[in-house]
Amino acid sequence: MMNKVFITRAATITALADNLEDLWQRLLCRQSAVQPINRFSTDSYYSHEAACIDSLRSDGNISLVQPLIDRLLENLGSVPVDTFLITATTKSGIDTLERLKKYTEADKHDILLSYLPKLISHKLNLNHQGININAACASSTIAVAKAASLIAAGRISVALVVGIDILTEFIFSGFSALRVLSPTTCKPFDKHRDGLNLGEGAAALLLMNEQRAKSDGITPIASLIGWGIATDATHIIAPDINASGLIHAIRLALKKANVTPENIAGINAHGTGTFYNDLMEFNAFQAIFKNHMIPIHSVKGAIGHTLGAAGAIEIAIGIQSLIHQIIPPTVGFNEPEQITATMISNSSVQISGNYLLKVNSGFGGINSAIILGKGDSE
Amino acid sequence: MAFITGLGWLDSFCMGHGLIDDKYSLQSNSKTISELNFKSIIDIPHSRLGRMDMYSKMGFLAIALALKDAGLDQWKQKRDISIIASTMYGCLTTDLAYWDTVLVDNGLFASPNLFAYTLPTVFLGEAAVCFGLIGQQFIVNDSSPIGISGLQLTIDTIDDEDTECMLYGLCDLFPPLEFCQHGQDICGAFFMVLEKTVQDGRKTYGEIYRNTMGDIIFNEKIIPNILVLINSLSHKTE
Repeated sequence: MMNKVFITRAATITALADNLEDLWQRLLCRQSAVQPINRFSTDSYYSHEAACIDSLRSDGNISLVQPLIDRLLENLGSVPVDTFLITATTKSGIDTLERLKKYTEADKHDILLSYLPKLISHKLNLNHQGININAACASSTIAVAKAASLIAAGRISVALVVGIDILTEFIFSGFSALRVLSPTTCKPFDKHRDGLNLGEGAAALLLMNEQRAKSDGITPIASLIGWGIATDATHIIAPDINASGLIHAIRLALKKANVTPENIAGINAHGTGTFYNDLMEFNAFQAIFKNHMIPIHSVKGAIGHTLGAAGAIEIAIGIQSLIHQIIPPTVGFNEPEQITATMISNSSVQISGNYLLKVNSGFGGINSAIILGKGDSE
Repeated sequence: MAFITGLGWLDSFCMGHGLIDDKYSLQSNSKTISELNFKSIIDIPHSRLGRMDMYSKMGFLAIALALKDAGLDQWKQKRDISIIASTMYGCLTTDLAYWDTVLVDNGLFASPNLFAYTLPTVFLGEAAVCFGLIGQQFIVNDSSPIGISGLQLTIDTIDDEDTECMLYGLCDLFPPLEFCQHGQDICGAFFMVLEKTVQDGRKTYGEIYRNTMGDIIFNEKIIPNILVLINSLSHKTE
C-alpha cells in the first residue's frame, strides 16, 4: 500500500511576480515579463530579450542565486527540521565563473551544484544536507517525482523541492550559439513559432504524506498522484519528433495515477516555442489523448524558460489551475496550426475536473510527466 | 534488493570491466584517458565519441564497459534501463573552456559544441542513444564526491518503482586547483549494472540493499561510501 503524497505549500519568484498569487493574476491578464536584457551586453547575440527579475541584484562577490534563494525562502516560511531536501538546477551560480574569469572577486562555492542544497539546508536549519538533481530542463519535475516516490514508499514523510536557475551571459550565449532563441517574444505552439526566450526564477514545493499533513494540521493544496520519467534515446539535443520518450513518461504517470486520459482536465506543457519541441509535444498529446481535446497551456511567453526551475514553477501554476479551475492564456500564441485549433488559447479557458498533466523535456532526450490532483483528491 | 551484474571502471592509469584492477585508484591525473587504448577493450560504434569532452567521455566509456560486463551492450530494441550518476564537479572543466570561447570577441564565436557539453547529464543521453536506454536518467550532485546519496536513490528506485535494471556510477575530473573543495577529489569513472532479478547461471558480484536503518549493505557489509564499495569489488577481495 503506497502512501498518498500531498503538496502542502508552494512559493515562486519569477520575472513576472514576486509571489505565486500575483504570478497567477498576471498570467490571467496575459502579461509578459519578456523584455530587452540590460544585465549584460547582447550585441553579439541574435536575440536581445529575456525574462529577467529586474530587482535581482547581488551585492559583493556572491552569485545572484543567493539573493534569489533568500527571497524564495522568505515567501516559503519555515519548514520542519526533518524535511528531506532536493534541489533542482542546471547551472546554479554559473555567474560566479563569469566573474572569476573576468578577474574579479567571487565566492567559488557558488559554482558547484552540490553547494546549492547545502546552502538551502543551512538557511532552513534542516537535519538533511540535501542533494541536487540535474536533468537539464526536466530537473525539477524529476526532483518532484523522486521526492514523491520516496514519500509514497514510506521512506520519508516530508520533502522540500526547490527548483532554481538564473539568467547569465554564460547560458544566454550558449542558447544563442545553438540558434534556439527567438529574436522577439516567443510564441509557444503558434504556427509561426521561432524559438524560445530564456527566463529565471525559483519555486519551492513542500510535499508530505497524509499522516504527516494531518498531524501537522496542514490542509493540502494538491495531490501528487502520478509521475513518469523516460528517455528518447534518439539524440542528445533534438527531441524525438515521434515523442517516444514523452509518450512513455505520460503513460507511466497515468498508470501510477490509475486515471485514464479522459480524466485529465488540462495540460501544463513544456511549450518552449521552438519548432521541434512544440511539434514533439503535440505528437505526444495526440498519441495519448487522440480526439479528446484538452486545454493546453505554456507559461514560457510570460516568464521565459527558467530551465531547471521550470517544472517546479509550472507545477505551482498547475496547482492554481486546479484550485481556480482555469487554464491561463498562452502568452505569445496567436495563430494556431490546424492540429491545435481547439486546444491552445490566448485567453483563459474554464475547466471542470480534478486532474492536470504537467510535462517537461530536456537536453539528453529526457522527459518527465507529473499528474496533479485537486486538493486532497485521490 | 538488487544484484550487481556488471562493472565498468577507468581512471588515468587503467580501464576495464569486471572485478576492479588493483591499480585502479581514482586518484591519479598524470595521464588523460585519451592516452588509454580503450579500443582494445571495447568496440564503441559511436561516431560522437570524438566530440565529447573528457568528463562525458569518461562517464560514457565506464557505462559502456559496465554494460559489456553484464552482457547488455548489444541490443536490437530499446530497453527500459535507467541511469543515475553522482558527480561533484561535473563538467566544470568544460564550463571554463566554453566561457573562454565567449570571452573572445564578446561571445560572437561562442562554441555551440562545447556549450552542449556544459550540462553534466549529456553523457547519459549519449549512452542512451548508443545503447538504446529509455529509462529515467539524471545526475545527483552530492556534497561529497564519494558520497552515497545517488546509490541510495538507485537502490530505492529499484525497490520502489517498476524498474528492473539500472546503472549507477560516479564520474569526476580533478577540478582546477582554485576550485578544489577538499582532499577527497577523484578523477575517473565507475559504473555498475544493478538488476532486480537474475536468471540462474548468470554471473553476479553480489547483492546490494538497504537495511531497515537505511544503511547500504553489500555482501553483508555496511557500505559507508563508494570507495568502500569499489574496494569490495576489486581483485584483492576475491
